Amino acid sequence: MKIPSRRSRAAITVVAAAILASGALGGMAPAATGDTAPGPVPAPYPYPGTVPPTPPPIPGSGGAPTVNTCTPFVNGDNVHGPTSGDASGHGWWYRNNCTNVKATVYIGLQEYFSDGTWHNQGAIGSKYVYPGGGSANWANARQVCEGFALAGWRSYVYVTIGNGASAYTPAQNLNCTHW
Amino acid sequence: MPKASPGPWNWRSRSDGDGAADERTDGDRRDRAVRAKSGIVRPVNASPATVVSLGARGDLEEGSGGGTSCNVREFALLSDGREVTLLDDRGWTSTASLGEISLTHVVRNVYTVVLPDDAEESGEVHEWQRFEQRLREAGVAVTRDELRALPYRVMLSVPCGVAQWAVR
Repeated sequence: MKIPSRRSRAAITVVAAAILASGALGGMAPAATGDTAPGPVPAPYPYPGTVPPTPPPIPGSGGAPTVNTCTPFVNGDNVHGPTSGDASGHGWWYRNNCTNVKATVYIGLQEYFSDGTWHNQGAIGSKYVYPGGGSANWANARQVCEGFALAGWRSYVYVTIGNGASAYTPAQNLNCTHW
Repeated sequence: MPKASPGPWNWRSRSDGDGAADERTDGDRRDRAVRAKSGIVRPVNASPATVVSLGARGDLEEGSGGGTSCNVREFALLSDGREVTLLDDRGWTSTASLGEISLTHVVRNVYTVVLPDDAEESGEVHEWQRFEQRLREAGVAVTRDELRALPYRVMLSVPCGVAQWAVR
């Protein structure tokens, strides 16, 4: 992965530390210690602690930087469902100042738990696509709903071309839970 | 549930606007008074409403971290003036800021997020089945093919200060 600046490196380090501390990206609830294990709950609005989420780090080297290092725009839709019993999200990208070539877009779903952390849900979806969106150029991630109580969902999306780009989508409270 | 705005203009008291006010008898007036008390109204035009057009409304806002977010609602406009919400759980986020995002980018994103989840396999561009169901719940019978033939428009609301847009 090409790190564009010291500021970005610092942000990624902070995010990584926060992730390690909370276990949020591990997809696992903390081990039970006699207390009630945390479970899916609606996400408070706007966000816990009113701090907007920091864009997620861009893992891996993925696409090699283009000859002229560029910064793409990454996009994601609000996690939605359960249309067919799943929570679903999509990610795609736009060129900005990058060349019109294929790049890999990744998307992962997260569910908000009562311990105040976001837990990874489902497999990370990825697709090697041209910029521009549409069903031919999006990556998809899904998770089956085990229950239909209200819970908070969001996705993180990143694309690996040039400097890369990443974003979290806003939390959506859906009638879908997965433990 | 679909949200349909009421269309009071389609419903009038039978004795309003019947063109025979001068010839009314006392009996007519009594009947009218009784109906007014009981709140009974009858439709002037009893023909069922039809769908005139479909569309999506996108509300743009500055997203967290400097990007752009947009909530999207799809709707059907009916011949009686009502608007029926067809889909309201969609939206998108981009790392492009409001200052750098293009109108083309915004409109394409709206079309992308209203695609069905199985669009890759089905080739469909809208949730026709859900549209049919929502419209049926609103009392409008319409087929998928009839919906496909309707005009579709995208409307955007943009925060103040983002008037420098040009189609790029």
